[in-house]
Amino acid sequence: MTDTAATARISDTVKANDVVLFMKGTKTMPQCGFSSRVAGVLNFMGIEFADVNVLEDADIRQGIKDYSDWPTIPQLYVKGEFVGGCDIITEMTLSGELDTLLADKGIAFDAGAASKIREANG
Amino acid sequence: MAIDAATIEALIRQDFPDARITVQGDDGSHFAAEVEDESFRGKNRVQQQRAVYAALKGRMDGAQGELHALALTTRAPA
Repeated sequence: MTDTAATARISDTVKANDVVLFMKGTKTMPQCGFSSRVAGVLNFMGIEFADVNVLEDADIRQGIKDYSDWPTIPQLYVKGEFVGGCDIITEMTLSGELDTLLADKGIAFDAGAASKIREANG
Repeated sequence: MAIDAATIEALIRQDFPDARITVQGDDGSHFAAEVEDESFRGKNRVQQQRAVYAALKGRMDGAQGELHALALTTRAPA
């Protein structure tokens, strides 16, 4: 189980940042293909986000799984809400649902870049 | 620790006896699973996939998790 200090830190991070990605590695140097894919999409779409490297902190690495009741990393949070892992973010990017979610939440992103991803993977 | 596609399918089958389940991958740690089940209707993807992860009972977890990578696709039947 997670100690409450880790949970409090996770909760603070998720509330303090509009978009947070818990990942293996950093957004500039991801250390897992799945983390890399999600960070790559966010970077390409010009979304400002905080990255948390779970490899640097065992408490956070376990804690984030308990926090969301989700067993894998990466995990994306928008406005305090867990959106999904790599598969869900990929599906939402290709379907346009991610654009809708970001727009609804008032998060700035490059809509042209999002369309380019869909054209390249259509 | 390796795991095979048939084991993954059997684990999912325990919780989703009537689902259409396809599991691909044979390197022992990277798999792709598709699960189509009536119980997913009305649930969002996070809820659907959380239920599948629950069926896998911790095998996704931790450093000794057998399943490093399971690409999941879930949906309700059309």
